[in-house]
Amino acid sequence: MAFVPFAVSAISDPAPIERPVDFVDEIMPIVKAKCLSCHGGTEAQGGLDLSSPRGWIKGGDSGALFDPGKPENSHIIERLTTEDRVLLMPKDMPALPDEQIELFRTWILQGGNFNLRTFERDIKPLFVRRCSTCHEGDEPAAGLVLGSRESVLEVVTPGDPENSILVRRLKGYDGLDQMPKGFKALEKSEIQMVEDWILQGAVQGKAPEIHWAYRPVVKPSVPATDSGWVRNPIDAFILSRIQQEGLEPSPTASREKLLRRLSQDLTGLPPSLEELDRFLEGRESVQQAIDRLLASPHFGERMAVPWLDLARYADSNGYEKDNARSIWKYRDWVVNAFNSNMPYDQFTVKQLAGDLLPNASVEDMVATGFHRNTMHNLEGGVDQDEAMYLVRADRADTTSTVWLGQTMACARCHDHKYDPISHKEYFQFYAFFANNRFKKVGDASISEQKFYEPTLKLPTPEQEKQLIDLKQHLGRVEDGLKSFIASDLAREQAAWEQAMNDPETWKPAKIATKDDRIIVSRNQVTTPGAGPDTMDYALSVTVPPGTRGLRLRVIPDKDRAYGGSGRADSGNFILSRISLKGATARYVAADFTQAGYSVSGVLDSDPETGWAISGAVNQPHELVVEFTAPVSGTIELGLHCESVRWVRHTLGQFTLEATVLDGAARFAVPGSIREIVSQPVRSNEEQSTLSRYYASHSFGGRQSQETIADLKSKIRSIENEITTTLVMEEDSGKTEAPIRHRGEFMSPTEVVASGTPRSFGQVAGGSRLDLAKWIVDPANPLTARVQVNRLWEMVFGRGLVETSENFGTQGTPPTHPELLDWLAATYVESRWNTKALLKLILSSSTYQQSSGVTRELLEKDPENLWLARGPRFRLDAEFIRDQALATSGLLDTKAGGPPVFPFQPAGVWDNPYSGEQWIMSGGSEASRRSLYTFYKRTAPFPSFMAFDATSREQCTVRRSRTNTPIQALATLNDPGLFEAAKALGKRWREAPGTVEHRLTMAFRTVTSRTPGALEMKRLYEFYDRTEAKNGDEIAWAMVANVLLNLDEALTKE
Amino acid sequence: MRPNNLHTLTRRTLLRDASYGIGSLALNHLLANSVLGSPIVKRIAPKAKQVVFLFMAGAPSQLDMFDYKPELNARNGEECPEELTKGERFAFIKGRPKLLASPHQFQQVGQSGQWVSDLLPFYKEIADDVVVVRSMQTDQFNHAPAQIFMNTGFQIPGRPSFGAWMSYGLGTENEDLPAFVVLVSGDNNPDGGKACWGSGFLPSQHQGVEFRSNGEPILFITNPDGVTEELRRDSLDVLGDLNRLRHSEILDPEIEARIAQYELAFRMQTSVPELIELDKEPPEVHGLYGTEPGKRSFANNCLLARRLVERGVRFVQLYHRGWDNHGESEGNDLKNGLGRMCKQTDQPAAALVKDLKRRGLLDETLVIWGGEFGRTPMNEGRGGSPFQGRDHHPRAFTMWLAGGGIKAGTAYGMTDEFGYNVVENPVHVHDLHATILHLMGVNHTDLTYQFQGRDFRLTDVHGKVVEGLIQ
Repeated sequence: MAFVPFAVSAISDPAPIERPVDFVDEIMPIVKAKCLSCHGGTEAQGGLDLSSPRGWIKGGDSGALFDPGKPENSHIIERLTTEDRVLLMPKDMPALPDEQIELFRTWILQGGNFNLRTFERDIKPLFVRRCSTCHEGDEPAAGLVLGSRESVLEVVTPGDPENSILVRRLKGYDGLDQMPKGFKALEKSEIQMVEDWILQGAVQGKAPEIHWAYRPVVKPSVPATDSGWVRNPIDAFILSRIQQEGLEPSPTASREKLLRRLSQDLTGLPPSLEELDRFLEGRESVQQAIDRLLASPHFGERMAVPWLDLARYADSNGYEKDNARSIWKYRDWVVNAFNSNMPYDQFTVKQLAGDLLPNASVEDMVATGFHRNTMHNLEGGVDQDEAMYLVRADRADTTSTVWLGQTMACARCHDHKYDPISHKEYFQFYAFFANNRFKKVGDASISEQKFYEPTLKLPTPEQEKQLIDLKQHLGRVEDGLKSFIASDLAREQAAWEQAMNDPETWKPAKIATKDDRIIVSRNQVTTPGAGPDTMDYALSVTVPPGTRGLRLRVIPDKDRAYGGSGRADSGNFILSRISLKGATARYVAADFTQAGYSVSGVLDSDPETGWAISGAVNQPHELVVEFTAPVSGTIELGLHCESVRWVRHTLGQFTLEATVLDGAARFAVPGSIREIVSQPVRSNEEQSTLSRYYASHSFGGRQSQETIADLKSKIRSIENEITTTLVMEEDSGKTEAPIRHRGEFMSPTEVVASGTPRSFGQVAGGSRLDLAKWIVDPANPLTARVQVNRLWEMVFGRGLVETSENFGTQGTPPTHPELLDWLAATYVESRWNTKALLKLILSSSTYQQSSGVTRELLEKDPENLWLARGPRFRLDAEFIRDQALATSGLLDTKAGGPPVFPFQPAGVWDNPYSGEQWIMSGGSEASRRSLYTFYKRTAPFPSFMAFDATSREQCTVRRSRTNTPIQALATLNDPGLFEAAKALGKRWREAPGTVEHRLTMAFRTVTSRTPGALEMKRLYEFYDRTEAKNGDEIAWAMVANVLLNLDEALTKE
Repeated sequence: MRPNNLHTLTRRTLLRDASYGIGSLALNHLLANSVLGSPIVKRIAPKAKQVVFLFMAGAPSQLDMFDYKPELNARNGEECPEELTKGERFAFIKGRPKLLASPHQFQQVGQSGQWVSDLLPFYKEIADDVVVVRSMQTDQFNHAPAQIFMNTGFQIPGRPSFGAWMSYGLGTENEDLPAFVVLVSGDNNPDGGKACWGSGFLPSQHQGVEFRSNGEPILFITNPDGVTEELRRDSLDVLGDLNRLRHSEILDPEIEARIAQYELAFRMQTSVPELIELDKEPPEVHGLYGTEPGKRSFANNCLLARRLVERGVRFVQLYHRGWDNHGESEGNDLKNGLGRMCKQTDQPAAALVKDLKRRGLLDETLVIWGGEFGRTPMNEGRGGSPFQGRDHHPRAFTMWLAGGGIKAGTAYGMTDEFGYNVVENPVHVHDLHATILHLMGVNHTDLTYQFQGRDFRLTDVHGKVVEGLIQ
């Protein structure tokens, strides 16, 4: 503050003030400017805290501050007007002007009232809330508008509330309807406030100042300057502030550091040595480099990292179960959107409401994954509706934080304490998200209910074509089957029924064997006692001429265990394989099979598969082998029983019979069907059961049915391979929601329709799409400011508004308000062109300054608020690893696709409820860019977490940027990063040239600059000593390990 | 470590030695934020300096261990009075549940005469050193949200955990070790996952550092294969020199802070292996705890906790999971399942209290035992299960505290005749947090951190210090 010599003001008589003086509007601004630096807060001088009415009433160490109604007895007036310089307040400053002292005096004279009601502050907001539905607009009720003091005076007599029509109507006097008509009456305290206002004179007061961030963006004019340093308007704004602070801009950064900075900012990767040489030799200009980097496919990957923090993108559901989810298509959508420079308004609308766009494309649907990145609680016993409430609340809060820079979540429980968002408005905003489609599934009786939101399938063109082909084929076969059923089925079934009941259908076969363990009696085979674990029956079976099928019938024996037909302790058996000589099996069927032991297993060579009958071992059962062609004479039949997992599961006794009818497998039917067939008289129900059964087991339709099953299974397996992604869809209901008292799910109250907080302007409609359009309306004061500030923060390490997540009244005000508005206006004018804005910033002299600091700068501006030097701060977690991979040559630059699993120490994933495991990706997949790493919320990638990445459980605007020993351990010892060091070491170990040259090149690879002589000497010494002690390979690996751990390597400078 | 001052740059020497150039004030500021991380919090006289929190993940059944209910025994099998269950939500119970007596015997122990079941023979020996709180209450009745609630004061993952707040608010007493250490034993990780010890929106150095029972004790603390300690020291020397040369050019104090962090990391590398050598403890100590070095067990973790406390670690949290005795199978019922858990934990937990006491550490160490919620007085009988088990119950449960300024040898709070509701002196999770912070010398309303525009506290907007628990 400029020094002003002391002066005792002459006491004159300023004009007396006739109107009420307001404490808040008139006294406090003076107090804030002149008194609070000493008399504010709990540590205030003289025990006097003037920051709130409490302190005024309490007074200070020297007693009461004022005597209401008596300025002449008031200590404060005495101290403001005394001629004693030591006592005069403000201390060591010029006395207050007379007009201001007169304000104090008048205020005390009027009673020292802290609660003067004013129209602007107290009455207007009340009327807006409670009366404006009717008393506003073109056709106000009774012709009365309550929007201005002037019009309100029509129903108010200042100083006389008793006789003011307004008050009488609010109280329902005079036999007239109480106002607000048809609504709940005003609270007593509200009516009292109106009465007070009238009694105190119905003053206008000052309109509360609108918080800077809520004022419309008006493009400011650019400060005039003739400085050669100024390359574009950004520099003009910055320079004028630098000069105000008495500083000077820093010189331009060296070209090598400049290219490194540009590359890291735009691609998250350091420049290659080739790129560096081209730039240093002048074959590429700064502008060309910026254009090249903006066009790089790595641009989108770099930009996606902070955006995915905002979107809380992860590859797992979170909470207890934390199973994997498939939503990486959304991640790729973000990368592509940045690469294609999608305008930020479209980028916004698609993510918030792509599903509601007319003719929404698949890509538009994928974009809605933004809000499907919420966590998903699948723990047993969860209340689905409560869980959905939390998900929707997260969507509302995140939308507000990301696009409006507003902390809306406070208002979930109560009116926002600082920002103009009421509890009701919170739920109006919430209501935009309250009509999403989801379904509840699962078994409520065991509390295993789940809820699911929509999933979108994204087949590749090839998969799509395969599916079309398969489905067409399926259709043809199904048609063929239908026509068979229509024309031939009934006849075939009649013949089948007849054969089923004909005792002559099956004729005993004649059996011979050389195996003396086996007893053969006619066509029955018996092997007594408990079996061995494995047994082969070799039987010569003589059948009648023209035989088309053989029936093996197992016979229960009550003398065996459980009265079974097998020799196991359970009475069971496993028939693992049937082999035939002299006949070829076409088909097998059985009347009964044990689950998991399908009869078709007898035809393959796998001993684990086969026919078994646990569950009904004490019943006879039959297995029919159908032949491809008629057979006559003797067949060599081999029956192989093998107990792979059990013991003694071999056959006990059975008979063999033959039939000459084709399609013999049809005769092996379940007992229930056999029973119906055998009844001459059947109920309608039985008849239809039988027909249904036969339709699916007919001989003529069998081929088609098998083809159908096969096609369906192929279709299923392709469908299972199709990539899916999580999307939003709107339900048929309304966008409305109950207010929840104190935010508690169990306390729903009044239902409100969707809407935006009044202070931020009204939205045109009630849908999510309307909300999205409102957000990107150029008139919205927040959206552009918030986004340009984030871009600025990404580049400079700190936003023009430091609290990039909070543009509310509790956030920090901008360091350069005009520049912020100029950037916001420019961004909107350019149709939200993100690449253009970044180019503008990166082309500025401000950005291109050296980041080296001087003692003077460090003292005057330690945090680089005024940008008299370039940015210098630690790289984000992902880019530290990317840089190690890039410089070592390990980096696989493939873009997009499912998440990958680079090296991670064993045991980091340890989930009580899932068998999911971290299985390291093979080959170069383990060396993909970090943003493709599988992001598991309950066990995020450890070295990222060390460097302040977040668990992505909630939206994060600004990561902290710490400097810890755990980080040092990670970059020194993480085996994944040490692999990179080894590869980098190997690269230069095997390169041609002197050791010195190669050390220089390794140093350049990592830092982009040539080392100084001292640096080189020290590095060489280390190499030399290590090489002597540990060998060349380790020496180079350790040199690389050191280089990758340099502060300069970890830092953008 | 090499006795070379240039290379053993520590925070203290940095602060003392102005020859390191940049205003030590700036550096002090940097280090204060990045290493010690203490905000300016007004302190009240602390009763405890350190905390060991024995977190029994899965929720132990208070009615079978601490909260003796003769009436429940008398009315075993009767339908639960409707006025209790009306309008209640349960995780698994369906229909009208039946009251379930405890299958375990209770007796009064110690001078305080508190009731304890025969599942806890070792606990009986420390009964006079603890205050048992029978009137705990929480808001959540599913494991993951309730565990996260107990640890962060909020049911959705993402807020800073208790230990992280302590690290942030009180800093560390041993710069060679993290301020907040987590030790996990039992069937598996807790349901709430690493969110239980995350730093949320606090700077990441405050997150709990997990000492692992397999592989390296702390992630990345072991040098890569082929790198000896000597070589690591050498490489840190050249790294430090190169960083210092760079610093002399561009003067950014952040470089000095980084040099200091690398030295801290090296000291951690040397101090941790010594710390975890449990087999150096005498046989008598192993007998006391029931430890078997080399095994992943709660007993080993209790002994390790004592060693961490001795070295000044601010907050040690043990997780032991497996208390979720629903009784849907025999192995998970109140007899076998609960019995097994008590067997694994009773002796070591009691040993920790005794051991701290005889070493004179109990006075300034607060030991806390408990789970995320309690269990119902009713049998769950899921799917008609014949085994005895209890469902999740947030309305009343038991925890105990020992040492660190608590009123030892007393019981606090009371539940109704069935143990369903708290009828006297309820202690909500937020109140427990407020009380523990108070014992640590911090007023819970003062420990705040601003994130996305709002001041956050461990106790959110709730919590009151429970004077009845304090000496």
